[in-house]
Amino acid sequence: MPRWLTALGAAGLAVTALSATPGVGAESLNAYAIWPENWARPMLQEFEKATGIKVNFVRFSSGEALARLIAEKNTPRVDVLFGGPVETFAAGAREGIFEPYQPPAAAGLPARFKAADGSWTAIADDPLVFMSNSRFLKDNRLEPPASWEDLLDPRYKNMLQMADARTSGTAVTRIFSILEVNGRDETKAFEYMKKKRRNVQLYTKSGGGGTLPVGLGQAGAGIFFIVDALDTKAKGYDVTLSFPKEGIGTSAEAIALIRGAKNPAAARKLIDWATSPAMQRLYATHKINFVPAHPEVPIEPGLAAVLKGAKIFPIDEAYAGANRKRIVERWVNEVLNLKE
Amino acid sequence: MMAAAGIRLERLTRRFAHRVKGEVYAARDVSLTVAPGELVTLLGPSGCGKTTTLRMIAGFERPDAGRVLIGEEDVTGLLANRRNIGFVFQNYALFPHLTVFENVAYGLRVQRLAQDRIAAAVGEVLALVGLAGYERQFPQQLSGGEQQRVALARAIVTRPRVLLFDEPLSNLDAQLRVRMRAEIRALQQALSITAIYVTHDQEEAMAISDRIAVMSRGTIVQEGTAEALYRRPASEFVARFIGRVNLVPARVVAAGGGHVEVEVGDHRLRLAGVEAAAASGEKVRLVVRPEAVALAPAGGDGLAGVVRTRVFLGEKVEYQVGVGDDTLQVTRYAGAADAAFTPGTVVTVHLPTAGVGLLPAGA
Amino acid sequence: MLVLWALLALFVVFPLGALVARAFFDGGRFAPGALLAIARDPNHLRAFGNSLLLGALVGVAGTALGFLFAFTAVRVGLPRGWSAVLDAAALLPLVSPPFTTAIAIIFSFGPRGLITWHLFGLKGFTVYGLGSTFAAETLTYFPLAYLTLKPVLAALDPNVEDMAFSLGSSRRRVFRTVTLPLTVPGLGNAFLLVFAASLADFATPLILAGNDFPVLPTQAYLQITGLFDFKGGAVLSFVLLVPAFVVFVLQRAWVGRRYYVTIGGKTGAETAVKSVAGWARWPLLAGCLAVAAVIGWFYALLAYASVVVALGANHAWTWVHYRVIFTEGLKAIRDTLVIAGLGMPLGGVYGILLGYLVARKAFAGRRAMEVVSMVNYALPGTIVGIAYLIAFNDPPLVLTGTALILVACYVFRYSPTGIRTTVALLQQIDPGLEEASQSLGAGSARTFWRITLPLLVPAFFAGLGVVFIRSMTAISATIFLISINWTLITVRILENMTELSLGPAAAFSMLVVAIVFVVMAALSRLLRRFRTPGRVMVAGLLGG
Repeated sequence: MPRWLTALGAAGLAVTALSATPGVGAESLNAYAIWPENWARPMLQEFEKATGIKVNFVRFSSGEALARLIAEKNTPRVDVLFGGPVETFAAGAREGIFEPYQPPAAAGLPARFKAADGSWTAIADDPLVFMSNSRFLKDNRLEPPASWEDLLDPRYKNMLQMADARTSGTAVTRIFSILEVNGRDETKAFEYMKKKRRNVQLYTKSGGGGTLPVGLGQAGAGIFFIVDALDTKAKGYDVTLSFPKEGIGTSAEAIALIRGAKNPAAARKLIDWATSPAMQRLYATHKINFVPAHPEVPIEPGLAAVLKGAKIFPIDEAYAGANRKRIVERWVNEVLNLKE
Repeated sequence: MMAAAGIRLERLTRRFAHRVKGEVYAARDVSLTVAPGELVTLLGPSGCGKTTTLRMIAGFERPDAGRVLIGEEDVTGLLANRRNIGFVFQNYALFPHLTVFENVAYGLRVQRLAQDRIAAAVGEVLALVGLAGYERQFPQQLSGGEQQRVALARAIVTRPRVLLFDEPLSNLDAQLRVRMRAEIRALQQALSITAIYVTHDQEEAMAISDRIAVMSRGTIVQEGTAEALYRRPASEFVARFIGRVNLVPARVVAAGGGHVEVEVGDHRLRLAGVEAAAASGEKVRLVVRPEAVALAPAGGDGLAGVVRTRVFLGEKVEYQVGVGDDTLQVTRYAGAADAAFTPGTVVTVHLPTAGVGLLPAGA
Repeated sequence: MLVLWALLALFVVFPLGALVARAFFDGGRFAPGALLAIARDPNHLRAFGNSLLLGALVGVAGTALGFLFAFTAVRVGLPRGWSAVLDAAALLPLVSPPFTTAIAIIFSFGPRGLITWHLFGLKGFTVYGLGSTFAAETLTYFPLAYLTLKPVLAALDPNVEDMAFSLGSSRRRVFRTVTLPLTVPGLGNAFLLVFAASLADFATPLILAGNDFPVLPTQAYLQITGLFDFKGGAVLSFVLLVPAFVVFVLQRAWVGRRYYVTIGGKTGAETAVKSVAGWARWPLLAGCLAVAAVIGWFYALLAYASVVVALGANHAWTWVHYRVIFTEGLKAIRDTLVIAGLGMPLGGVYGILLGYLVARKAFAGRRAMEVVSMVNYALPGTIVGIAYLIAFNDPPLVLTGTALILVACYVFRYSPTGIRTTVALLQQIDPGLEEASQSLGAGSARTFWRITLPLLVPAFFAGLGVVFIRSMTAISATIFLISINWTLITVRILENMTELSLGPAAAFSMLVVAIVFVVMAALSRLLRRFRTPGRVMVAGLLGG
């Protein structure tokens, strides 16, 4: 074999050998995180600091993470699914990918923050909020939207961005919010959504996909989880947050143990830690604007100020779970693909 | 048919920027006149500028200086498509996506002739080049000779004022080359089209041309009939390029009255019919063609030589004969009396005394 | 050879079979119901139609643009500097992560786009939909057409055009009756390449298509990641197989057809009186430069986004995004380089071995081997990714989560360039060379190592270069294959986009472009040192 060929091969092998040896010996576990990297990373590093257990993780959107976990059901690659809307966890539980486990903190949580069979436990709460571009409001002489009806104003035509229900838990929470404020009258709720459709510029694939466009003024306003909205504001974009007077839904963020996990002990430690005040107190420190799920952790004052006076209601998991597939399909057919 | 028109080139010059050599002349002050109906060959080694000159006549390249006249018309500024010229390329440049018929008809279609006239003209010219019945074939399906004929038919079907050939036969095998050049010559004479023909093959040039212009390094070094060039080359370059030649060093002893007396070694020759001016005492070289040298058995008046090699070529015999330190090429007819000397034989060499050219020693 | 067959069976046939099984079989029974359901779903039908429409439009426009570039580069007689500008403009989109154009378009032409709003004061301009997806994909994929057409145009015998010219044709007529017809096979090939690339692209529509213009690859992706519907995704990607297969067959027919190149002998010197009139040079050049300027603008924007705090909100100068990618993103960078570095030699060797076998050895199933080796290349990446995921997730062969699955995916998807280059080179190399070696007493192995292989060095480097570039920039297949252990820069870029971190996304993109350029430059320098005929053919970067 010519020398250069041999050399190339050898170089390739050397590179692999160098990089294929992760730290052996220390206790570690693997996780899929649905939280964006800049939130998941500091939390998991804090966990390592607190326990000495290293967490290897990779970030996926909720849909990707779930699809992957289902695909890997027979040979799981990770031990924990970290963060992400309860929605996703409920779907996962129906697929049987989780190992029920009730951490000590679960006992103190309200019912909507834990699965009855223990397949998941909440670590945070995340209400929806209206977020508008301040300049857009000013240019169009609009007040920040204070009612669901306000979003039907023709001045928003083609200027709303919000998530696509096929891919985003944010969107599903939003649709169920609309159903709730319409007294679960589907006809009325869908009439409303069809009207709103005219003002929607884009249904984004991810829940937060519209925040940057709103921040930049590419879009005028949208409906997002508060954690994404406040993050946009923190980045320096001039946006205004507001809540509808009829009320708006909230969705819990959860954690779960994967069935067949290779490091169950370490995984349980992570779940114990994440569901306890130990982690949730750190949200404020790291400027992550989730509402802590654990009743003992106070809401960060800035976040509390935003939430003050807002009418927020939880989405009924039983009702949502039973109707989700049908409602999403109806949304796709009647709203997304609306023909005028 | 359009009346044949002459061609006149006036100091055509084309320069190129060369990466290493800087500015190079592909053609430098090339002047040439071709009479109506005449076929003139530009002959020279590759890189001598003959193709560049031809392409300037066709309008494919623009001269940096000088003029091209066809008939009395100055076409220097005209684009190639306005010159009414027929061109035959070395690689034929047939349109590969068109049939033989459409290839030939191309120029007629450009002229917007009626369909029936096109069909008639194409049929006629294909018959002329011996390709009747090939109309529907594609160029790739033809042999090299056939492709060449299509190219020829395509070039003449529009009755151009002038026909230009760029080494049209060099992709053909030797026998076909000989046959095709006769056909081209016959066709050119039958149509009495003015033609310029580029080649590096001196035999081809001699066979096909009325006159030959020999080019070297971008300039025409000599022009004339094949015979004139052969007998009276004006330079060593021409002498060596056209035919085989012996350049025999000599010294002029006396000159005058159409006669020149020279000394070759210790042997004196009295040459008749020498046109070149020569002064007594000047060192010169005699242009002696191999077939003009005669050999005789040793003894008698003449130069002494030794046969080194003998090659039998059927109709003729080629010798290399050592004379002093030099070697002479000698060609004799196979039936001649002096055709049978074997290598090693000592012979007497008789140089010719008529039809010998004189070149200065340094040229 | 058995080894090659085994590899092909394992990494090409088996995953595709697994995909088909997943799409059509339910619990061991043949159940085409899912496919019928898709066929009846008007939304999916619309997406299918949209995909074809988009592909056709992008194919036509990309080919036209590629032809404009190629024609200008080859025929206008540009000074070297200008051709370099054209080449660079055409190269950039090829070596970039697939969504860079899409992002730049949103920033430039959105409702508050830098151009639409800030420059022209247009309000309520809608950027999402067919128009912008079409524009982004055309700009991204026209280089494929350019690189296909440039050699075709350059190989046209100028004498043929001179001849037509000399027969009295006007320049326009020469172009219409000679130049264009002679380029037709090249144009067809270019169209199919661009069409296939558009058909397989899911990232651009994901960002730009909006709600009213669903396309199939994006739907398949969403079906799996959004609706957790593996079967539906498998079926949708199976539907994509149909046009992909048609393109594949057509392309082979085109390529198989003889290109009209010179028949023999010396081709004419380059015409000095170009087939382009003097005045026409400027509009041609201006057209190309306009496109180049748009591309340049996009990349300048990207570069700018990578060095400011938050584009559109806070334009303070900062290196923080680069710090982020070299700390948090370091693993992705390292993983990508390792995988690309591993795939590179393997892809190069695989390419020339297979190409050599196919071109020079006679054996049963030779054609079959050639076709099978092209399959992964011809299929849209989404299909390949899903097929690998389905095939290698469960025993007998569990590869998900390893680097091997990524390397295998790249090698078997992008080596066909190397294979084709090898075959093309071997067709130019006289078998007499090998016979000469054997007549001098060398065995066939020795002949291969000493004679054939050195002559194949250009193909080796072309194959290896493509595998490297694709490993750095591809996403459609590998987004399904990354894992906790191995992640990729492109996936991080998409991730960053959805996390609203434009800065790191831009910084990652710039890094990828820089790495690819450095490696390309190194490769061509290395190749020059071998002093073998041929160069790393940029044309070898073809493929989705």
